[in-house]
Amino acid sequence: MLAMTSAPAMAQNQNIKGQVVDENGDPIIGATISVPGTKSKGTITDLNGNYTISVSKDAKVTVTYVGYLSQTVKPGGKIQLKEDSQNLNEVVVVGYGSQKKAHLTGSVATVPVDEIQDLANGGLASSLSGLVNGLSVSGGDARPGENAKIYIRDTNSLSDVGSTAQQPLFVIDGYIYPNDVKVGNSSQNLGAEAFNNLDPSQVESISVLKDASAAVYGARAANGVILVTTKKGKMGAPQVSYSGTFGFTDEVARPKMLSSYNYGRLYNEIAAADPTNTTLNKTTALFQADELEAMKGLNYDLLDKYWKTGSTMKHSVNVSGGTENVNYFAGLSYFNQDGNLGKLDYNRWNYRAGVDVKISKWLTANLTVSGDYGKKDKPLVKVGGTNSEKDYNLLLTRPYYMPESVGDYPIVAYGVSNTQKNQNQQYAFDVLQNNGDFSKNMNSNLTINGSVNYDFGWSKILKGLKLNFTYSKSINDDKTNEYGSSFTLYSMTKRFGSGNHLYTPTAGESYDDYVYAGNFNALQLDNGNYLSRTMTRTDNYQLNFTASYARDFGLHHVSALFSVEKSETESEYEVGSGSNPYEFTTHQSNSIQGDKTTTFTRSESGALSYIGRVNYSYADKYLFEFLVRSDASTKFAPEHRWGTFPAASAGWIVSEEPWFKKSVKWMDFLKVRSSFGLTGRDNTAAWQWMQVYALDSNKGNVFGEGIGNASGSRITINKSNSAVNRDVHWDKDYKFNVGLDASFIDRRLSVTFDAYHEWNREMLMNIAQTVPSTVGTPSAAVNLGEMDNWGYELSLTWRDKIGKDFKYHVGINTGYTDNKVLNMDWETDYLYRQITKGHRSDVGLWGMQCIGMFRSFQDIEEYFDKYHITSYMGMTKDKVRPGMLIYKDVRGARQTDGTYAAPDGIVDKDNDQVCLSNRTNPYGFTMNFGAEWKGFSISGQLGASWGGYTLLPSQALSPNGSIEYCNMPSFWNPDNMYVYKDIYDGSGNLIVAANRTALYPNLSYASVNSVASSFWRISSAQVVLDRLTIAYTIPARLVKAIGIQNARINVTGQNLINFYNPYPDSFTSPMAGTYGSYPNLRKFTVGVNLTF
Amino acid sequence: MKKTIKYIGCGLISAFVFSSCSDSFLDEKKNYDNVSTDIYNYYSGANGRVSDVYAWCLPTPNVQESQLWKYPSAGSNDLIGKSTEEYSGFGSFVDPDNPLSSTSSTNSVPDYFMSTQSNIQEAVYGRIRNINDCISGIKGGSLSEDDKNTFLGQCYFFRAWCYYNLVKWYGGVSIVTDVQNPDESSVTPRSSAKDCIAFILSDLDKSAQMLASKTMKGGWGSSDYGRVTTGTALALKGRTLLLWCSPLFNRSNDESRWKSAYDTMKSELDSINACGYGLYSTSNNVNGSDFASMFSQTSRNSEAVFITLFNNFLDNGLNDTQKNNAWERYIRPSNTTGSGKNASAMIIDMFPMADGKRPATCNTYTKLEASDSIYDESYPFVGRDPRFYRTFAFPGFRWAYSGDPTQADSHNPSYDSGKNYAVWNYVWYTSISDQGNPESGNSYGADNLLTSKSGVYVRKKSDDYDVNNSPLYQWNAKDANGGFAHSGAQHMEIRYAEVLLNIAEVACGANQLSDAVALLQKIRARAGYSASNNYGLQSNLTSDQAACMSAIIYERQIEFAYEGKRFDDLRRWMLFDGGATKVAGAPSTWTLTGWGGNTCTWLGFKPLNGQRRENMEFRVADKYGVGGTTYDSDPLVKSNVTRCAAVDLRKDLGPQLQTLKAWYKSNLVLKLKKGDARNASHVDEYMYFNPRYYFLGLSSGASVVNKSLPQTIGWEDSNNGGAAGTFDPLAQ
Repeated sequence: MLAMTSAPAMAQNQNIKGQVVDENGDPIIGATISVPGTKSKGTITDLNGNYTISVSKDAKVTVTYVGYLSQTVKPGGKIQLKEDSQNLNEVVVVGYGSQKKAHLTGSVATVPVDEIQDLANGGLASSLSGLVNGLSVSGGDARPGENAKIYIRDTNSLSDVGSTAQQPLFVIDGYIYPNDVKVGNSSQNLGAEAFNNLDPSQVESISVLKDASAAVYGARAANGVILVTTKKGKMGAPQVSYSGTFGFTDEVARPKMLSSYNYGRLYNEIAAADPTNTTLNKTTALFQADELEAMKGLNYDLLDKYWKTGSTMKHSVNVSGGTENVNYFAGLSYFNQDGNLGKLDYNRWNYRAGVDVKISKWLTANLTVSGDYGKKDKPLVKVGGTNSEKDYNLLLTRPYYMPESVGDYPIVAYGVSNTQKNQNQQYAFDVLQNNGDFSKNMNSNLTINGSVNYDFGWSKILKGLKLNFTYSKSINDDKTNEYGSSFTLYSMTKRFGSGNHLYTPTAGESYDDYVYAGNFNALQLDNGNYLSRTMTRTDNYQLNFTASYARDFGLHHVSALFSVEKSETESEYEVGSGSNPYEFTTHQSNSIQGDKTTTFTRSESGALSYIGRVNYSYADKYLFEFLVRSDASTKFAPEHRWGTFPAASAGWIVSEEPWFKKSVKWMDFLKVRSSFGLTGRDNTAAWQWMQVYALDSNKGNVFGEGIGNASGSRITINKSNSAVNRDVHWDKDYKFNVGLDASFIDRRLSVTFDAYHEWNREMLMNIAQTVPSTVGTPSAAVNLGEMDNWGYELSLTWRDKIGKDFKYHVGINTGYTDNKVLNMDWETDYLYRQITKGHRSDVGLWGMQCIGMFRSFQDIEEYFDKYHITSYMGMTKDKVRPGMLIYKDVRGARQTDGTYAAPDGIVDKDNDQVCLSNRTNPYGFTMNFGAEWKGFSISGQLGASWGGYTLLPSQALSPNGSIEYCNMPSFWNPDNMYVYKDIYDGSGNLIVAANRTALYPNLSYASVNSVASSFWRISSAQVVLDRLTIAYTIPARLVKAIGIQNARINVTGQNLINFYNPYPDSFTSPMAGTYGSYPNLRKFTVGVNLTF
Repeated sequence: MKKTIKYIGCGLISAFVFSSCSDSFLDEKKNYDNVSTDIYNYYSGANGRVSDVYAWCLPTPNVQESQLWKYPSAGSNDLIGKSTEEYSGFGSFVDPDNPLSSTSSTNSVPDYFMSTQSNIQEAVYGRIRNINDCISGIKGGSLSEDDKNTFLGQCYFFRAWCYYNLVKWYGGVSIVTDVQNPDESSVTPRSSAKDCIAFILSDLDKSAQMLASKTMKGGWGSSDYGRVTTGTALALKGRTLLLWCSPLFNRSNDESRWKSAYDTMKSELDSINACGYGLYSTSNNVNGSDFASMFSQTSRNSEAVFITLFNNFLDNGLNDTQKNNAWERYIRPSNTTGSGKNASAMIIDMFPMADGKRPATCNTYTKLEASDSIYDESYPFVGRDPRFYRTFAFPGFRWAYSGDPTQADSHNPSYDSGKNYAVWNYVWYTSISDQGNPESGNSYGADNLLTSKSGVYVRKKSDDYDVNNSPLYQWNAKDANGGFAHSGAQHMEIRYAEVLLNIAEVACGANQLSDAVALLQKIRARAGYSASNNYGLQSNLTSDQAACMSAIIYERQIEFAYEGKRFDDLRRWMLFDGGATKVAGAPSTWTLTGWGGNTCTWLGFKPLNGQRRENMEFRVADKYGVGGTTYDSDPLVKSNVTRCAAVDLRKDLGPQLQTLKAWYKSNLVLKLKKGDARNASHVDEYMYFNPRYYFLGLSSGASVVNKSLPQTIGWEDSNNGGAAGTFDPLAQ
């Protein structure tokens, strides 16, 4: 019967040839040609876009290709496909499977992977900024090898209430990288590391699960999930592509600092600020007139000397291809970013090779091996603390009158008093850079993914059922070698100038006067004086058995999934170090004079999960999804191990309704969707449910007669794990999302809108305020916190064509987030500026209300009298001086009834602060735009945010350490700073004139003047051009001759232009990052993309 | 093929079904970071825990001002030292400008009740929790009774020590005896002083009894030397009983307290002695050398009743086996790579003359006879108590050590690598106006001391090379903390001299005056006095209780100068105002009715409130003019003035001091420099200790986390909007 009906059709079949091309007329490879309503398998286009299909005479064929609108046409000739700007047929990875974008019921965003290819960033996270609505990226623009952090939907507000803010969960090719592996005494987020180490050219897609759809990852999904799939081989002849980038990195802005001469004058104004000080030694304590004169010519700008333009480069080569039975993909890439200062350097190799094998029609297998190998060199800083920003900071703030060395003697940065004020003065950049000291890190990650898929398509009953087994293993090795030497700096007993303050001769002096051995005191200093090696190895695996089922029954589509997931992690940490290496050390433990130690620790954890999901849709209009995940983790006590995380969602594609199609012409597509579900968070130290003790070797005390007994060991209650709470369990985060996707005007305008509300409950946090101190310990983490977060996200995209060749698009992402704290470890002091129940976690910016400056002693008298002040910033009236800012007495102490008393005559930071900004910038948008004309294209990103205020950075308001060795930003021009009376030097020369009408208060009183106050408030509005790429694709006909299919060159800039600078004297830029720290980098790169 | 594939499919299904059931691998996961309560079943484990108690609770000479909540003051110029006669510069308890507040974080009353909450190891009650954990753990463990007692005896001692330190500040505190749950409801109310003292005494009795079998045969074995003993427990018990008898706690001078304390302490002295303790002395005491050398003992030191041991290891940058005593580097002058501490003029003027009597110029301790010898402040070192020379260093005194200071700074004088070091800390000025200005400190010290000089150095507890020829420090001139950084000197919190003086004081209070005087004589004898002049003690001490008590308090001030004890004595005896000022809101039971209602008047002691302390400095005489700012601009050197021989304490002092006096006379001038602050108009300010400070209030920080604890009377309660405190430590 079957044969009878099909036979005639077969008889009339004819072979028709045709070609599928894109809008530019270029062939589309791999487009599917099928005959609708038949069981015929169809065919796909070859490398030239050509196909041959055998169809009946009048049959039509449907041509489909991802990213293009499907067409059903008569076969033959050239079929030109139109790009689908909505990508409705695009398939989106949603975790344990994928879905057509049109069928999504949750808030799942995708990263436009094409737009990140030209960016030269060491870590992938910083490339994502501004591209996904609701995803924010912080950091990653400054030091090479340091990565940005990603937050989805306001998760960074969690830290305000005492919960550890966490990054989202990273899942790469189905493998959930552990986000919290204990290594030594710290914890490692291997997921974030693996994600940042990916090479963009090897990434096929990135999805971001923002709402309850993340519940499929259950206990770790409350901060959202980022899903990455990497590239797989595509059918066709081997295709080789190369992309290379080369460019330069340089500071976005360098803070402007005072010249030597102005620093000297400023120093004098500070030293002589107090008119009641009768014991100021005018010769030794002030720069003298001759010295100031000489300082006009001194400009030892060490940052300028050592800062250099850095270079960055990237090369990637990818090969892919495949036949019907085997596909393969292999890629290799190299990234390098030089530091701009000293020995900073970062480079990384990435590799990835995967093969998909079709063993039979029903059995397929995949094997992928991927990994990366990175090296990071940093300066080793062990002088005066280990702050790694010291190199930049101390070069920036070193007064310009201090050379690095005098004669052959490298000097210690002693200022006017010629004594040490702070160990930071012993940090000598050039000596430490040239001593051979190093901190070298090598990191290698290897991941192996293997999977077997079995399809029951051969069985009538089981048709639609697929089984899948995957096993992923990752091995992470990390090694840091450090060497810190000892070195010698010199101080000078006598220095140049009539006050003995300079390191260089003043007029009439010569170097010979003081440059002789006896005038230099050697200081033997250590930059750690040790060798160490730290090794870490982490082994993880994840094993999944998944059964999935999908089948259509008429207009009913049913699919279901069930998976068991098991994973284990173990890490080993070993550190060995030795002190006092020989000068000729080989950097191994065999060339150490001092003692050696070794420490090794291990940690392990395990998790087991069951995942189930059911999808149902009817007529592609009504969409339903229900999922549940059950998780067990060894972080918690056995009875609290398991957590269950369900979620449900539904969608309605309104535009599929016949009445809509008929009556609404101006709208092309409309879908409404909603989801609700529970996700978790396990951000707590493991094993808090057991009372444990820790061994502190050698930290005990000395027993025994004599003075040669080592301090013994002791067994201590670990201070961070001192109290036991057996009841700790998962955070719970209920997520609700309602959204709509629409497109208008022939799909030129598309709109996505999402509104969400999250109920964070039982958040893990430590409580301090309410536990009486007589208990003796703070609480262990308890499930205490409650916070509601909500917001909306709106994305508008306009995509159009003008004429035949000019295409352009503009997309705007904007939104709003807010929250309400319902329970936390409430503060009990100064409630007027603390988070209180029912209010948002961002309490804004608080500070003193500045109402002027004391410009005379009479001002002080009047102020004290008028406001009945008894204590001003902790001082009685006789300690207050002209040149201090005047703050308002706003209120008194809190009273028993909870209100604050009227102004009480005591002005202090406790009770007299006012709100200077309601919250950090609540408003903002990001605009991504692009245009193409013939082979040329331009694309870029512009961002703006506004609505809040900020303060000048505190480091710019008071010298870091002591003004003796710390230069100040240029707005501290001595002509603008308050000076009570004329200042004369030891010889009676007027060196600074009184200035009682100055703009700025005297820095001498920084403890009063530098506190947060309205005086230092500036707008925090920002408008910046983040990125711009200009590219040209060389016409195919020109390059084909030399065997190249596609050639494209681009010029890209990152962190480009800052349009608004609120800083006085523009001494730094809002785009530059934190004042005093390594600045954000502006990058210019030239890239080449070739496909062979 | 098809069949095989089917089998694979079925195989997958069955593997799927079987693998998904077992979660036993989760139970196999272990915590490798730490060990469990099982440790208390092992001697080594319990020992490790008790070592932890020692490590957090033992006092240290290295105490910083910010750690005074954690350790008692050890004699430094911290806010406590600067609230006594020993150092000038208003410590916060006597600062007239910045009254302490219990409601504000500005000028907050020091928090010795909590200080830190988040760190169990350090927090005041965290250490108590740690001890309670040990006590319950050891009790519940499976060690032998004998081993348990050995450990518990030490734990009870330290619990009592923690509470003693709380009670001396607050009068009455919460008594926590078990490991409480860290939640809001774990509130322990404040107990009265009476109950607290009883609790401390009971812990000390337990400790003394449990340690008796191990320590009452001459103390611990040599490898356990340094642990607390029965004697340590009984000595602390004596200190506690004395506190309970003192005017601060005994406003009506209840004589029965004194009597009962005296009986107890007298009878327990034998047990203390049985632990190997006694007054340290040698057969060749020269100019107070015994008084000096007891601080530089390395082996068993009979003086050391409660001791913290140190070693002289260098920091190897890797582990923490080194544990050094910082006192030597604190007090040594900067030209020997130390820092130096500046003694106030007030205490120099108070030390006894060589005849054992107070200087006639000293306007306090007026119930004590004044010396017949003339005291001339221009030459304060002439004819003083032997202990004076071991407590202070003036220009022209030997203070030998062993180590080359030129490695640190080539301009430092070597003095044969310190072996013949003498401190020549006279100064010069660079301008006449500074020289004449008492507020100006712009002076430069000789011998490369320059600006890092002290007018008179504190030398107490020094490791003097002339006394101890094998220094306790490993010299390392290039160490960031100077050459003396690695000293293994022992630190004594309770000396045997204190045991005796505590008994003397309760004997005096119990009106057993001759017993009291006999004990005083022992202290004087060790200092170098002899029976020939009745140890420098006046004769009416056995008949005049007030004079006797005054003599004991004076003796304590001299004997324990710069050992961190003075402020406790001043508070105990309410010597800032004599206890005569009423604290606002105090009940009538707080009124001092004993001692005639004023301890100062009764003792003949001039109240410290209203006095101020200056500093001494010896500057070059006017004829030499001014000098420069560098090491080679000493006007005396430029004028080729020869220094006289430095005073050598190993030799007869008399002639040496006269020579030095003559040299001072022709070359130096005493300058009294501003010690305590002056106001903006350059007018002197005076010490003011608000009488409510005798019992500290809970600071706002401590109140905030102890919502249920009432504030002490006299202080505002920051939990109740600043309402008056209601807690009465003296309630019966």
